[in-house]
Amino acid sequence: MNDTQPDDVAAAKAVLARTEQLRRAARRDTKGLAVPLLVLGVLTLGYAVVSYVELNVIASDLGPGQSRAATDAELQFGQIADTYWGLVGAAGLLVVGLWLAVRSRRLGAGAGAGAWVAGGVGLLLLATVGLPFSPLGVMVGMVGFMAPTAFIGIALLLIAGRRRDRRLAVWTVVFGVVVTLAHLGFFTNRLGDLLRVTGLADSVDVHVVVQADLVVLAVVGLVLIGAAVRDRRAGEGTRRVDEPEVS
Amino acid sequence: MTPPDASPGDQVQATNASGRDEPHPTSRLDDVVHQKARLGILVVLAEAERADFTYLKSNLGLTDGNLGRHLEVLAGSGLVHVEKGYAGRRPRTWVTITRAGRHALAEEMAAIRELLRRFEGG
Repeated sequence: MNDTQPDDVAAAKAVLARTEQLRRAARRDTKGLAVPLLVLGVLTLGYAVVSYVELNVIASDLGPGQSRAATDAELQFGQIADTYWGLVGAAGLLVVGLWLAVRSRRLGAGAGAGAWVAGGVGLLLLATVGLPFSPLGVMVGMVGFMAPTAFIGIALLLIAGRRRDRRLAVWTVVFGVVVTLAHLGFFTNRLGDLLRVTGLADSVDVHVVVQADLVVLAVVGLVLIGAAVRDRRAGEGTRRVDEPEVS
Repeated sequence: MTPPDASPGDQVQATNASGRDEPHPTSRLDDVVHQKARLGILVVLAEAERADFTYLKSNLGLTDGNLGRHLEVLAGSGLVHVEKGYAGRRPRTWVTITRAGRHALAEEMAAIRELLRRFEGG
């Protein structure tokens, strides 16, 4: 026997519709992904440039039998490149945190900067101080060497969990996996495989093939920036649709 | 949506297709949470984590007195935490949702969805 009345159902539907509208408006105001994705996209483009310099300038082919010593500037650049995601990534998280703090204060809603600042400071400490006297130190170094985005990825996932932000978590996984694969030369190797299978390996310059990972990094950066712009436009669209209810 | 004869907390019984008695979904609705403005406050806070008095007032279309009374009820039930402070020289009241508030909101939404499911499932 169904004892639910049509009035109950209409009221239940109205409540669900209203709560969804309020939820969307609050999410738009407090969980905009535009700035986090924009910052992450710019950082990824920056990493593509750093990787380009490392691959094509510092480690360029001098020719058969040729060698030279690295300059001090090249060694310093190499150190910056090694800690890029620890230092520049941490700065990026702090910038997002600062922006959210100002926005939350001005708007009167949102969790503020706490999680972002904690993530940025944690990342910065890991990159600068590390865990030199701990057995974990070696492991941290190895993980950073193999997957330089591992720690900023973990920080972003923790922030996403704290903010209950599924979209940020999904973007973080996409960013972390693709950038790590590019760092390991995955896309260059797959392009090489593809050229071998299609019999085109000899007709394409190896120097061009090895740029595949850099191209993927640049594309990821541009996709993140594009997603940021799209999120901002979507937010403006919602703002126009969700007008405050007057009772 | 609470049946007229039912007082809060009454377990309204219904018999389902298999003949087994189960409580009517409306009996799971909590009067403190179910009220339209209070439900709105909890929904906004669950998404925003914290909001100030002005933001809640404008987003929910409530008056100062109305919002203040609803916040008192929610705070009295331990569903929100109200913190009064200052922004410069102006008073500013921040409201955050508690764990109990999140739980109560989830229960409420589940009860409403169950009501719909029961109707649409025949």
